[in-house]
Amino acid sequence: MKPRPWRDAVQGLAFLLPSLVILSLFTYYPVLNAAWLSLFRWRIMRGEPSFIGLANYGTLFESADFWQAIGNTIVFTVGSIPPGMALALFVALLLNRPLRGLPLFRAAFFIPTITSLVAVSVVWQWIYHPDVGLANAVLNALGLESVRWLNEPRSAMPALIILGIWRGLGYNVIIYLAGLQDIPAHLYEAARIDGANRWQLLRYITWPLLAPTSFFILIIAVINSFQSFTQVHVMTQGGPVGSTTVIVYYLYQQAFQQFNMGYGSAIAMVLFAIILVLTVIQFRLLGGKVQYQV
Amino acid sequence: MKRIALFASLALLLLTACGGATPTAAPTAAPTKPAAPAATTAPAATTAPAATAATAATAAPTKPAATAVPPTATAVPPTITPAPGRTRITFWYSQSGTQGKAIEAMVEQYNQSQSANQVVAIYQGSYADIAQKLTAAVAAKTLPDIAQMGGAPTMAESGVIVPVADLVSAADKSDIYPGFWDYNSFNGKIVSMPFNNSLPLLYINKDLFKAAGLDPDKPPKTWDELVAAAKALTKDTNGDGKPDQWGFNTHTDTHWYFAAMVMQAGGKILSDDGKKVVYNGPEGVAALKFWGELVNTHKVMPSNQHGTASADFVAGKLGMLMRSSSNLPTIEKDAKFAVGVAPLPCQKACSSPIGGASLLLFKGAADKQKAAWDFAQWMTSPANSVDLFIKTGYVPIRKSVSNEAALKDYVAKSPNAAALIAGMPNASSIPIFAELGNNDEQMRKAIEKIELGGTDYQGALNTAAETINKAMSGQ
Repeated sequence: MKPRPWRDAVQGLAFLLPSLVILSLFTYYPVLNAAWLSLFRWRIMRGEPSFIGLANYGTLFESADFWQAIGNTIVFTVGSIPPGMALALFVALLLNRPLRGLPLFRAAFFIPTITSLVAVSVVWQWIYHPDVGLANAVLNALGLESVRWLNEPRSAMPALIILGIWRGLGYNVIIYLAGLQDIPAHLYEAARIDGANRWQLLRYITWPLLAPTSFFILIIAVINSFQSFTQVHVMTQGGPVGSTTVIVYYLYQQAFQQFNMGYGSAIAMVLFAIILVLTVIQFRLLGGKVQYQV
Repeated sequence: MKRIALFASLALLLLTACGGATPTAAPTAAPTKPAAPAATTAPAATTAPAATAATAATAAPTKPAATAVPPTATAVPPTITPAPGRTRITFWYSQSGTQGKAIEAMVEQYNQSQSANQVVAIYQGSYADIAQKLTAAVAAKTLPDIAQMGGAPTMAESGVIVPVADLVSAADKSDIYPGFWDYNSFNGKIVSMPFNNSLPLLYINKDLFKAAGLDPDKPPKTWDELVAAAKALTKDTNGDGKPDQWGFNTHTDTHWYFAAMVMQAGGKILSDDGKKVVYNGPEGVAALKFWGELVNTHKVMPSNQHGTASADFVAGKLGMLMRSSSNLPTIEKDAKFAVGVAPLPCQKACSSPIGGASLLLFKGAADKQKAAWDFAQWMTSPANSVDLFIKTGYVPIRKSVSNEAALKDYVAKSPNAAALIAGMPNASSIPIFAELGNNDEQMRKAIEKIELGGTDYQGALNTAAETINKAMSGQ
């Protein structure tokens, strides 16, 4: 058969066209538009935008609130992802075996992930109630002092991190389970014949072969973590004293509460750049170490 | 080859994960107050944080919280079939629950009461949602003919509204209390029509009052009496050495009650020329000091626990609550104890700053503008003003309502409604300025600092005021 490059290209494009049109209209165009907008001062209730070049970025990098938001986002990310992934792997290993009622357990772990985050946040606001909340009841039962969770800067972010880990667990467990089930049984069999113990199986077979899965979870989790918003919005509104103002919440305050559209767009661009850079770094540092099955 | 594949997948990931600001994935209106399905009642458009779909698509290339939350406030398809020969106008409103039903009923009645105009009412979410949708609509030139909006005068400079000053009759102007006109003015010009307005109230748990040896029919009238009552009401009921029944708290819109206290102390929020905020004067400091002492000295208010205050009150764990009058019907319904209300306590002055929303009319075809104004007048007529009050707790805005039989009957039956009406002469207005939403946020930050044990009242207020004044002069 003769190669028909033109015809193939046209056919390929035709197949892509529907999603390309929708993505361009609702994703690429708004992104480019926001990039353009970030060069303007636009108080939306006060008439037309005026071009100010990169001044929004200058203001942004000089703003203490912005750096606080970046810091809070980093604390949230670092605090929630490694423990969250470790816990997810642990649970996945527990669930990756013939157990009675296994589907039930799997469903139970997945439910938080598919529950509306707004509903979850409202419930957790009650769990964290300093006088009558479940969290303090548990602490007190263990003989520990009550914590004023969302009401104090030093405990508000940890409270959000715990919620984040709990909520992300189900998704990560499912991905890890899928990864575990992809590991061929004959590898374990061979290792056992060579006399490997359980720890060695985990360390030298499971963990390396799960690397692509872990890598995927890490990247998705970092991207999601940098975009956390809902729980902050519902539970703390960024407080007390800005201690839980993450970057997207800061963006929201600027763009949608104070109507500084240009400034808000500049924050969005910076967030975009941060996530891009982080993802590239992760690919550079870890991508080469990931072992894909052949 | 592997490398290319890796980067291709990276690019895809990013585009789907970061770029996906599709309307459905945007953050949606969030019920920040578990116990109150009611709308927010703060004076500014921006107090109840929530974001909407429409604007997110253009301004935020990221998608905050890619959750399964359904978009709350998508336009409900109008159920009314177009009637030929009638001028059809679109009305965006922002109330749900009891309040929403009341508004829908009014629109229905209007459509039946005359045959010239037909109003299509579309629910658009909370005050913050509607403000954002209007913002987007200004940019997209898809405005409705009339809309309900909190902090409506902040749109005065947008160039798309029909100022009510150009429409209102002298009779209407004198019948509506002046405080409400102030609340709807920007730089001295009446911009919008007062519609659903609320006043901050002191809610009291009469049962807890009795148990604490206080007279439930004599709620505190001054700041000192407030402290004394709150002390008596604060109790450690489970014996763990810490109070679990608190004397006093406010709802999350702390800036509203704080602004009231600044004015009660004799201070002002905005300078007379409207060019800068001035609440960092001695009166503001006195108000913030009083607020801080409630938490840190008298220990009658839990620190930074406003998020659950209303629910705590309904649960009988809180003796006194400051919240909007528009929550009166809901609180009376939810509480299993006798609820009382009183005007806010006074200090040097009495002050109840008006909150709630207004009707905003937008430029358009002459017949539609005429219809929109006719509808606005109907919605705010004495009879409908009373109707709205009875159904929702939003105060009647007209002096002439005292002639309405429905109001007389209602007040005779409900002592709480009577108390609310009695507070009407103190209704005042926090001046509306473009940075108001920003200012609310700064005030809340100052209050949070002090509740955490800070005592630099002047410093906290200076930070807030300077931030706002910089924004006001710089733009």
